[in-house]
Amino acid sequence: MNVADVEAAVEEMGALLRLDGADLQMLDANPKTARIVVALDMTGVECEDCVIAPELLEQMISDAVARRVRGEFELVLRDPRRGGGAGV
Amino acid sequence: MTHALTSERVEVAADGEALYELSLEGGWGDGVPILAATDERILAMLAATPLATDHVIGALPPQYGVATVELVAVNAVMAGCQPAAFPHVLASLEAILTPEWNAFGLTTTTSSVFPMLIVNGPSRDDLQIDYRAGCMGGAGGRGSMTIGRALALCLRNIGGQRAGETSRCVFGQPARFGMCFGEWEERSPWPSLARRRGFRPEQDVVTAHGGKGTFPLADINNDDPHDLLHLIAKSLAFPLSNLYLGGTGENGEVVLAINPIWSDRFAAVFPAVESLQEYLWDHAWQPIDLWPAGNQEILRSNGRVDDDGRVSLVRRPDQIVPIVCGGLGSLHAIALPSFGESQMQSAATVTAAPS
Amino acid sequence: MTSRSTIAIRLPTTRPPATEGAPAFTVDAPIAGKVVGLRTDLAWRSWKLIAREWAESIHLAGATTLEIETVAQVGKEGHDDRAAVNAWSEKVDFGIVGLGTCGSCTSFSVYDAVALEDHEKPSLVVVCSEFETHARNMARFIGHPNLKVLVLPYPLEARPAGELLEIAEEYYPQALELLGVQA
Repeated sequence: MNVADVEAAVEEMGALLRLDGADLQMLDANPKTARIVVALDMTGVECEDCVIAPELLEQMISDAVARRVRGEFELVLRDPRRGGGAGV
Repeated sequence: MTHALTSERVEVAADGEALYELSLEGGWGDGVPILAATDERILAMLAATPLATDHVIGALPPQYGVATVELVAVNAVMAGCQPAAFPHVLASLEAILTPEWNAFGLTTTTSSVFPMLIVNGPSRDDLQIDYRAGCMGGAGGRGSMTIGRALALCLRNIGGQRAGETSRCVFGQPARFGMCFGEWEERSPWPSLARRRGFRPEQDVVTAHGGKGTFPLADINNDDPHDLLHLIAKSLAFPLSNLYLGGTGENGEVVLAINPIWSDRFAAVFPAVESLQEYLWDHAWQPIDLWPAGNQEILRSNGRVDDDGRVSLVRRPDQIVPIVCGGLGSLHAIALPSFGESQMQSAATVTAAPS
Repeated sequence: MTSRSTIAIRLPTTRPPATEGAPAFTVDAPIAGKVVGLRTDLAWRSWKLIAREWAESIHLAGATTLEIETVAQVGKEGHDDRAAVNAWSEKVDFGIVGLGTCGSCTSFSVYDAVALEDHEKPSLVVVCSEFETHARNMARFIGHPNLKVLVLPYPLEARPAGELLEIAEEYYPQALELLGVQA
């Protein structure tokens, strides 16, 4: 796993989310554990329903990473809209 | 260090297929194409160890052929090992030659058992020893595919272990081509196998387990870790396990390879690996009336039945050995059932000092 | 140097260590008054039954028996077993060791019979027919090519008691003959 590739994927999704006032941050991308932790930032959002739904967002982020990163990885999305995973 | 090679030298056609045919005719191949053991390659292999070329690792059963470092290097070259992996090959031999591993019994038995090599340490990635998806077959890392193969060739060519001749194995198993995989230490919530066996994190360690095969376990239904572990334990205690055959259950280990997703789940309720082992051991039993009357009599006479009519798979929790490896698809574990009369052995690699 | 069309390689094999081969001891005396060792194994009930029958015959012939049962190959139990076999080898005049009816148990039966030979006591290893070649190979590999081997029918373990008693009766004389027991 190349961390720069993960950053590029996160930035791609971040750009999309910024259209609705949200953002995406990469908290960790560890090649040794193959675990990627990202967090959705909703602080600038006026219309919460406008932001991509959590399950779809997770899939889209995963797809964006998979297009760039070879091999398996575990994606952890911290989305304040879901219980159990605090956002930024 | 200078190396004077003494192994028998022959001229062969400079053609890979001719070499392959020769290996088949001579009986010193394993049925799969090999690399030519030229002096150049052997010397490169020998440069990776501080041991002298004529240093004797041991006498390999069943024929007690003397395994010198040179001869092991020849077999490692044939297997396709890179020189940096040679210390792992030597460590694997050191492990199986420990009396308690019981190479004397395991190289001759009717059982399918063969050394299954579990690798810990910082060299796993450099040597392409697989510990993630497909680690027990399919990932195709060079280290995984060649270290175990080198050991298998040594057992064949130096130890003289040949199925149907000196080895009475009935079926054998795919691992007899060679099996070597790593533990995903970074994803394990518990200390690594090597750490638990007393080695330091910076050491590269090879553990040889006398395993009879890979026994797949799958689940898509249980969220509760206790329920899942209960089912795993019951699966380990299958009635025709070697550990129920005719012995006391004192010897032998069952390795349980757990995928990283499950290991996180289990560690949430069993943060100490000993508590996980205890739980598995507590549930790895079968009721005596599972077996026919004749088997019941044997199990009773061997002292295997407790007051509640339970027949435990093993005597102690530490005989169930969890490790973490495999891909992130979850849903699966793999057990490596035990031969019984063998105790897993570990050896740290010894590398040559950088020149 | 190699020609253009050939390369030189090293062969990966070695010859087994050359050994002269230890001689095998024989009883060369009547059985009366002897202490006969009988080694059985926890795993094989068929052999335990046969050994029990032979023990009775041995007693009737005026000899005594010293019986030992092994349970393991490794671990503390394995260590204890090998030590016990050694101690037993010192006490008996000759011994019968079984049963070789699988790969590793044949190997260890040979190993324990050799313990007797190492104490200069005559030994007989009892194996089933399927494992005769294996037993002779193992004896040769550990330096005792002349080890005496008695071959019983295979398989033995699942036979009913009546058949096992018949086999015991049929093969007892051959066992004594192989050991060099005089009439």
